[in-house]
Amino acid sequence: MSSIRILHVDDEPDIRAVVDLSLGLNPEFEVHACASGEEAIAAAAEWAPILILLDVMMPGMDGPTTLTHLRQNPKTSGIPVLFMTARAQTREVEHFCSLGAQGVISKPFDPMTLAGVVRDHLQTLHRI
Amino acid sequence: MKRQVRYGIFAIKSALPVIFGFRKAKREFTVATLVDEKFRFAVEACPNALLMTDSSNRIILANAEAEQMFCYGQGELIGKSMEVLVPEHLHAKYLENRASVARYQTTHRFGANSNIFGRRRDGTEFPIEVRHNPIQTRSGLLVLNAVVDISERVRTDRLKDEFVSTVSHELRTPLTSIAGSLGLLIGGAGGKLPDQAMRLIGIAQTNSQRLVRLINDILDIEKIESGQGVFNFRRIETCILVKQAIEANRGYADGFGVRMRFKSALDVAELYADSDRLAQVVTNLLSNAIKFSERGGEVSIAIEKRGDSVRISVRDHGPGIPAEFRPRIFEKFAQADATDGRQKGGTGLGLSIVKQIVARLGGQVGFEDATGGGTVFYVDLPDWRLIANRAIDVDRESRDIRILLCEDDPDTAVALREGLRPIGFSTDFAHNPDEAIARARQSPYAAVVVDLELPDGDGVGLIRRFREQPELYRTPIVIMSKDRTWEKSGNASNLNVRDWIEKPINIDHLAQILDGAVAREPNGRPHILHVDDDGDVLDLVADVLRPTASVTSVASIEEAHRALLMNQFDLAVLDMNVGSASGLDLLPALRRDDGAPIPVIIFSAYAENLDANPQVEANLNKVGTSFDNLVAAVHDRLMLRSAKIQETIQ
Repeated sequence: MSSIRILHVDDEPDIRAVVDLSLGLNPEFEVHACASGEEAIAAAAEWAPILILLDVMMPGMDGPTTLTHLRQNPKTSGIPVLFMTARAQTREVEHFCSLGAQGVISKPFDPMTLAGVVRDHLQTLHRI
Repeated sequence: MKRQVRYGIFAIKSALPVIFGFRKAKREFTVATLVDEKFRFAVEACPNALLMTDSSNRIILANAEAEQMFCYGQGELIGKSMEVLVPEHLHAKYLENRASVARYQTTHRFGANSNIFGRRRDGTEFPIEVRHNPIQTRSGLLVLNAVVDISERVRTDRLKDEFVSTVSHELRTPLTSIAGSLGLLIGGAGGKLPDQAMRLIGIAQTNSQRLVRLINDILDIEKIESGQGVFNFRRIETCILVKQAIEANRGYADGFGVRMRFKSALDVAELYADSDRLAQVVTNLLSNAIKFSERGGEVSIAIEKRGDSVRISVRDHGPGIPAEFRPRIFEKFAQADATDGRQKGGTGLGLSIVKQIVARLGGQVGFEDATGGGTVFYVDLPDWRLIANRAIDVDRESRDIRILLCEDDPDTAVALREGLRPIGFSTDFAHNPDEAIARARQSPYAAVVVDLELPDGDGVGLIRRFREQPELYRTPIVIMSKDRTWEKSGNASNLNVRDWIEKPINIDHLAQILDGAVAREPNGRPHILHVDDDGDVLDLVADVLRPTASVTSVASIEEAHRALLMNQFDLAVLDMNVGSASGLDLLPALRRDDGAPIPVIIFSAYAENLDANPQVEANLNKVGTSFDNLVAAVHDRLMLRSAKIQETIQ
């Protein structure tokens, strides 16, 4: 069975470690972490993940800008993106979705259920 | 440093007796001298810039603060035009404001939200607040302009916003790692831990979660207090919202071993509120009640109608609120000393947030001792029906000029209605786009005022919809908005927007705009001129067209000419033979004020080939054409125009 490739983008090394461990609770997931938007754009084109988890506030290229670049490249334009951001209110979620994201996971997240949440998102996305 | 006010002495002398209420000519000289002296001190002592201008807009008085603020030397401003102190891009706006002051002779104030700037001598600009006070004197209208430099306030506000956003991000980032790591340890992702270690990690995790809540609460309260939080008012079914809040808090209640029970005597209780914010209110009240309940206790939630309000109440069976704490209970970081020593784990902001939100929702929050022990917290919010009636209702004091106000905030709407009434307008309300369209189709309005920040669809969308209706496309529309950004989103001139006014609304300015709009379009519907010498045909056509447009029916070419002098028409329906004359003789006169030709539909028993004439839009033969066909042709014609407007938008 092929693994489910997930690209995680966050400038904070500690958060990358926690997300890696949390998603690791589901053995199907194969996680690749990037520390910046630029890295993510390259990795997404090359590695072809099934889903991208994208931090919003990052130094240099922020999440929304990264998303715009991803959507412009035909290789990555179809990869679903979930933003990970602090306390998303309805309006902000709507805003992110209008940018082309498929959803939002709020931070701080529950590490024990993160893998399940991501799995649920994937199921919904594929049903669509 | 002693400085003196500089001014043009003659203009001031004639102004002073009026300013200070002295009018007797005999005493003028002595009184003027006395008042002159006092006035000079008063002006000089004022910490704001004071500039007085005469009727030709020249500065005749400037205090030291004004000279300092705009970087001019002593006396240098006297005789200069006020416009030297206004950046060029604001000249038009300034002159408009001044004209408005002159016209209405009331004080006009432009606050921090107005984005008004002053210009220093070196050309640099700085944000200001201005008040124009008109003073009518024998030598004409003087205006006293009081100016406050608000650079520092603007800078502080920006710093605060930046600070809050930085704090939010910088505090949450490490917390995400901490809470995440602890969660993984507790979940066993790091292997099995000894009981003692588990207990300590549990404490760390509980407190990291508390810190997250605290940061969220602080940010919430900051947003609400600064007025940044946008409230989206909608019609809300209270029972559904409350049940959802109960479900969302079930896990929390289970943790405390507390049951929640919901009872409502009402099948339907509708509110007018922001659902996210109201859910936050209910959640805060629930979590408080749960926290202060005994294990195994019960929290009951009820909804009831009380007069014009709907009351949501949350009752606990806890120890009650100590008397000395009651006055402070809604203050920030207020927490009663836990008499039983139990850590309640709150942030001390929950009730303060509740109070702030409820105030913004137009309601009230309170509490009382429950019979049989415990406390009831309640929130009273205005019933939807009340708001709807108040907001949709037609202005009962009907005046000649009726306008439609599309504004979702009932308080603002009522305030504008009251403000416009003395000027002779009666104002009907619509609080969402659907109602606005429905209402405007029911009865014609002289003008429509649209709040751009409407819920259930944007204001620009509403204007487009207006322009799509043949009977509404000409109604003058005035936009209310916080800023000018809407102009960039759609092409304003193509939306055929009459004018724009910034929020908060200056009633005088709005009245001035409406005066202008109404004068030009006495009856915002399309206006059709029908020329036919057959009185029966005139009557029938007027009947069938009246739902779409105003119709002026004339039986002769002379009458048509008179009607054209007095009205602006959008369309003419012509008979070929009017008495002994030809309807076509009228074609050269069928022009609007701006010279544009008025489109023509020929409705005649005499067929003639008129295809070559570009002004003739349709040529219908009375014999073979039903009135339905005529109505359709008129609609097509009017729709075509709005379709053209549509095209240019897209």
